Amino acid sequence: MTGKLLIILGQFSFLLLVAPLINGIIKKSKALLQCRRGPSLLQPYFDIIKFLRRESVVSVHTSWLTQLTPIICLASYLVAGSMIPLWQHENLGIGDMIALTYLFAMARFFLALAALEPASAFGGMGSSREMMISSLVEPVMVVGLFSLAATAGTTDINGIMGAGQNPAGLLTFIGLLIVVLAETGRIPVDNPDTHLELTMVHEGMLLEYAGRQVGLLHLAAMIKQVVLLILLIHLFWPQNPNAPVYVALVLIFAKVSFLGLVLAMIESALAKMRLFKLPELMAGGMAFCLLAVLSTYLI
Amino acid sequence: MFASIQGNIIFIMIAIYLIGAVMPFLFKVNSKMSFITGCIPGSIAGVIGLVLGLAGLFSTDPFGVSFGHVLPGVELMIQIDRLSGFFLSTICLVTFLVSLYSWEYMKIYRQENIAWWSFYYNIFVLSMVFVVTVNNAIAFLIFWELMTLTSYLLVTFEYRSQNVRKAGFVYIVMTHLGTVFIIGAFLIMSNGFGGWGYEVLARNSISLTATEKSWVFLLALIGFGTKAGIVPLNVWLPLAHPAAPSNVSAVMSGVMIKTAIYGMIRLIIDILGPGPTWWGGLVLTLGIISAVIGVIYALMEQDLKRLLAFSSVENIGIILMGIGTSLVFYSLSMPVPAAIALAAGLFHLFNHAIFKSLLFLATGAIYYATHTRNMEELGGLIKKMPQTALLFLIGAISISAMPLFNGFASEYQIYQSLVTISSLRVSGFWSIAGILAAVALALTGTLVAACFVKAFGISFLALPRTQKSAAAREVPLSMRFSMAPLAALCLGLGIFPQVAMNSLLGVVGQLVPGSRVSGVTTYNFNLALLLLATILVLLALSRLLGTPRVRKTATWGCGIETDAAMEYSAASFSQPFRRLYRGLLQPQRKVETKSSLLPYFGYQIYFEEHVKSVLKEFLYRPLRSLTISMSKKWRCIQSGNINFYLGYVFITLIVLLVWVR
Repeated sequence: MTGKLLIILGQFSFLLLVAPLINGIIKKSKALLQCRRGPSLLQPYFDIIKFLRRESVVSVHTSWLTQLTPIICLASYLVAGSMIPLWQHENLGIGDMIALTYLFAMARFFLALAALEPASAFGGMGSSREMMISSLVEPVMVVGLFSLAATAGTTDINGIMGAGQNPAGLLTFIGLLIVVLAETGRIPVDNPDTHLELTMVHEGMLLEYAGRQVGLLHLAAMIKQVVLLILLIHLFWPQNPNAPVYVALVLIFAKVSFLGLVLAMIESALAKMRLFKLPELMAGGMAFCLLAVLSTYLI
Repeated sequence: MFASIQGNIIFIMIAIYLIGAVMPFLFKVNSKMSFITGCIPGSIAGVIGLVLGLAGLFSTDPFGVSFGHVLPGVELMIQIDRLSGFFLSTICLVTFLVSLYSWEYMKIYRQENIAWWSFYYNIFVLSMVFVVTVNNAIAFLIFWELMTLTSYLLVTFEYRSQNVRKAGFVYIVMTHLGTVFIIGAFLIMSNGFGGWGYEVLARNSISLTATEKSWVFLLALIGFGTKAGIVPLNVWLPLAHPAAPSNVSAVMSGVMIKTAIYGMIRLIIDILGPGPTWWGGLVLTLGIISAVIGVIYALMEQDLKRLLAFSSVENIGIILMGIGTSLVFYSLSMPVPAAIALAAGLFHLFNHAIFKSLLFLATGAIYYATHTRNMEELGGLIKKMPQTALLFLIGAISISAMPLFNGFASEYQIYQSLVTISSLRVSGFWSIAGILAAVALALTGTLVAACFVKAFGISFLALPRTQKSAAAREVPLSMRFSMAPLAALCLGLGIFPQVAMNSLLGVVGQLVPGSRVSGVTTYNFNLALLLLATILVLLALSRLLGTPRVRKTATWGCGIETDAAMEYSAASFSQPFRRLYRGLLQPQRKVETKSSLLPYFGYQIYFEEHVKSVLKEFLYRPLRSLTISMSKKWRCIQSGNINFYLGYVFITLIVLLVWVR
């Protein structure tokens, strides 16, 4: 019991410590690709510490729900992250990809509610668009994960480790990469750097948050990003399960950073899509995943 | 001796329901005593029924009591086996709380005579109890009809309104059409000899040919599907549920439509036995269509009760997905996965009964406090009615299948069955079908989440949009008290799903031979605990670290004071979805601007948007005009002269006699 708790705490701390750095790497490499110097790699840490200590301004129209939402978001992403084993350890028995998908959905549900609370139109717009985008993204995510789960015959995340290492897996990977772009709110789906009211989705929901709350929400978003990248690595690019703990952690950090670099390159190469063009993008992702399914079962 | 004790308890329960039906007439119209005598017996009988149901659910041998031969060849006998026990306990649990709730709630209908309501309501609940416990097809049909009639009277309780009468008419026409199909199914099964007991029918059905079996299946599917509200037979549901008082809608949506699922399981799985694979495929497909179409229409609604009614269509779809998957496994002679899939469907059925009645009761509380069900007139209720808000939120979270709550637990089981069907590689077709069904379930899940973000967010959060919601006050204690156990069950079953799954596997073990499953992988208990613990630890940490200074201020409204007109409305929340699914919904909008001399200030905009009901447009309207034009052609035989009619009767008789010989 204590052993399991320690492992979970270890996974939590890894996520909490590494997530801002990964965000820093993505930001820095984006800046370099765009011929800017960009902020320091450690800037996200400074930002979060600053936010956590800052006075917060709360709208009088809100209730306990607004206060609770950042905690629920952070908790559900952390728990989702603890499902994917980062190093070789005894099976915790909690890893399940359906639960993972629905934990993300839970965070989104509360965030979308909290966005409606301050009675501002921007929050409502963000909330409504976020739910619309999620209704496009989640089916693609499920079909991608299900095609792997059905091959392995289980939805346990440990059981589908490396399940994507076959030719069909490449197609699934492209589909799931599109999902990751959408889930992390990146171009071409959403722009994480914008504060232009009419284009923002995720940022629009955070607009009325300030101080510690916004710090927690930013941290939660960074953790979600790392969890999704680790999930991709776990499925398509797993490491030697017998490696010692520190090797495994260094390796996984290197791989996540590399994927972060890929994200930065995709973001720099593309422009943001119009909101109602997104169904086409997600249909593309769905097509890749379905092709993978067909090729597994029919060929 | 033990059986007779249970028999006596059943008699007592029935007697208490009848007391509740009749007693209120003895008191002065709408006096305090008439409310109490109308509602409290229903609660007491509900508790007794719950105990009986649980006894049936966990006992190995069915027990019951006979009322003797009420009709020639028809022995009215209550027999509670595990399946009946499960449905009986579901019905009684929900009606126990609803009866308690009605005591205060019905006071807003004082303009009518409440004694009549009590009469219809108690008979309605009693007939549902009979429907799931009798073991005879004729008795089943009699109580099925009694259930339909009493629920019709409850739907049209506010008969002074034109809309309510219309809704009642559609309801009774649709469900009667459904009953015709059910009678057809029983007639084929009885095969012209023997009796009408379920055992006799089961024996007869062995000698049926494959084609006859398929006819029975199709007739039962259409007949019970009408009552359950599967697409495209769901037209009555979004009309009847909002027309009825909210406590009645809670019973209708929470448990009455589930009696149709009971009928389906009893007739198709218990009595008829395994059939070809396409049965399961058809049920699965209908389930997917109902789930997706139901939730898309739910998302478009501004009326809370219509939204909940459409969401019932969606949930019936999810339940059918479980049953359909089970039928597929059943026909492929894989009893163990079949049992798990069926148990998953039943689990979702129970969960839906719990959270849907919770949501309807909470909507009733909103109606009690504000006298409106229109979301565009609500808002800010979380401050006015904090406890009702929390209860509604728990219902909304559960129905949106968030981990920790029961909706997730059952949807998880259905996902597991779909993974099994994909991974068993019985054929490439079923593997791909399983994945596609999972995609449909995922799509449904996100749309439901959007739908209930809208329902809760617009009605309870931000600023009140009208005086009605600004003046709202928390509802009486007895109403909140009767909702609380439902909310507690939502959380309890979410954390301990294995309890429910294991007892349901017992129910299913009785139906599907060779399917003794000792245990089943439910979603992990530790996960729920971990999530709960993480949330609590983070909350405690943020308290311990000390909160930085908090300043309270109004939301920034770009320079002008924020008011309710700036909030996102229900219609604007669902606009992206309307656009996304415009092929199905065909929204039509009308915008008129009236500008005054100052073109930028103070001009009026008139905005109107409608979505089309494709079913009404392309199925029911042509069907209706076809019926009318056919009837016009036949009108020539209707002379109005009684001699002609006597002649018709005589001719029919002769034709029938000749045909029978």
